[in-house]
Amino acid sequence: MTTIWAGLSVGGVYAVVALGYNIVYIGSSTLNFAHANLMMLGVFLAYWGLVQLSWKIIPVLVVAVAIVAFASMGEERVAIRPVRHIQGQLVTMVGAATLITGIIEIVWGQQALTVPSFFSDTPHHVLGGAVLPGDLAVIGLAVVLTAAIALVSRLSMVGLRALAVSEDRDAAQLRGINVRRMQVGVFALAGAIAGLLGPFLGPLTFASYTLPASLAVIGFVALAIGGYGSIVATTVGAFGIGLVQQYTSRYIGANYENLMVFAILVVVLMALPNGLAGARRERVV
Amino acid sequence: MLARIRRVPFTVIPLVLAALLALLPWLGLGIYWNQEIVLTIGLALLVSGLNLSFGYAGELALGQVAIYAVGAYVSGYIALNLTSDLFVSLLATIAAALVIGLISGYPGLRLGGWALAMTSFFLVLLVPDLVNIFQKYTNGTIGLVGIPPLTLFGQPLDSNQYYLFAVIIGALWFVVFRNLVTSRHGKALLVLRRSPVLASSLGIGVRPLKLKAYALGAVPCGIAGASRSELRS
Repeated sequence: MTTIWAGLSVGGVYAVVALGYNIVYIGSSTLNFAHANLMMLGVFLAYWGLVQLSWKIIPVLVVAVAIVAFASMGEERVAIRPVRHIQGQLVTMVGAATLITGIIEIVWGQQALTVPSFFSDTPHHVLGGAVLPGDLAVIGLAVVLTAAIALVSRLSMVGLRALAVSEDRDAAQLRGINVRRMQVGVFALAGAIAGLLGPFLGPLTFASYTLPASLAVIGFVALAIGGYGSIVATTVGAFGIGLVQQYTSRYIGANYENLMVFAILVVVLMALPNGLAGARRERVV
Repeated sequence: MLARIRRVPFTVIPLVLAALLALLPWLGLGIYWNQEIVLTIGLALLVSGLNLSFGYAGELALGQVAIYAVGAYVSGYIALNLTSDLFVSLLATIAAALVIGLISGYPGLRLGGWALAMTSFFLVLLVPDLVNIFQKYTNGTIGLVGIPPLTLFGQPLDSNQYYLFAVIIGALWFVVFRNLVTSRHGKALLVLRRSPVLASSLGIGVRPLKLKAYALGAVPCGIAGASRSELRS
């Protein structure tokens, strides 16, 4: 059970990365490659606020949300909007990711930093396994955010508009949806969530500038397993990946963790190219 | 005078420049710049591989760095354990690069766009894990040390001769690359980049073409990796 809790908390981290991908994907049909880097920016801002300035948690959250949302909107403005084609976007987004990592490296250095948890460090025994309160918080946040975003996208007017944009951008524009504002909005929302999560993820992941590359890829694996744009299935996929990683590293060896995830990715993509809950699109021209 | 210059084909200029570059050590180029230029040639090879599959074919296959690593390990392993002959090393590296290029590109036959980009990028992330798993052959995180210098017909190459070969191989690849992209195959790749559906409706086999792009794009990356492993020794 302890392994399950560990897997679920790692899966929670992947789930929030994949959630950020999904929000942007639904509103603008782009896979925001730099989202994991934005999240790491949130973690570093949490370190900066909590340790370097020793502020209280609330002002740190406000500042982190504002800065990361602003950075995300900046990314949309310079790296996404001027580039329409997918090949160009890939290059500019990897560029944005590299830029964010580079700035983090200049400001905070290469050493991984410990972000203090504002929960206690004594493990609780829940359902027969030991788990830290901070880990439970990440699992809970992943579930709550997933449910919230899924409900908003299905029930609110804004969510329905975003779904319409992801379905067919031109048709949505013809129906009077402001596509550009929608795109800026989803980037801002994804950035704000990334900033909000910083203090919660920090104690788990540490503030490390090398981490986003693997987070970005594994978050994508969760997205591919769940299907682009299907929010709940993606979170389920992310928890599944976390569990697989923890079990592989416990019973086979830590070197095989990512190899196993890669194997799952290849099998899923070969068998279900649209993911567990994705719909097939027949139109190709 | 000007008309006579115009009659010279444009391709002559890069070749003359390459010849000049090849002769630089004998015109008094120091060992530092010698190594820097070999490194630059390696990176140029790597990028031209990316250019073939990503730039021309438009496939988001980003596994080039993994192939670069494979090239470096294969040539290093062969030099340490079998022979340090230049041609053997080069051929083995190219063969290994072709195989890995096909394997890493294979998901691209089913996937497109972001999915291929991420799958091939994942392959790059797996390199350190694989190096650790095959510790017996790769020496883990320490890496292969004490790789002997390359030989040609039994004679070890000094750094100037190695430089000369690096320039020649680099120039040769760019001649091949130039001829490839101006040929019918290059045009077919550009059509594929526009749209795979358009390509197949024009009678271009999309599957073989994609595989060709992955395999050919892998070759320079493997060679680049080999040049890197020699430099480190």
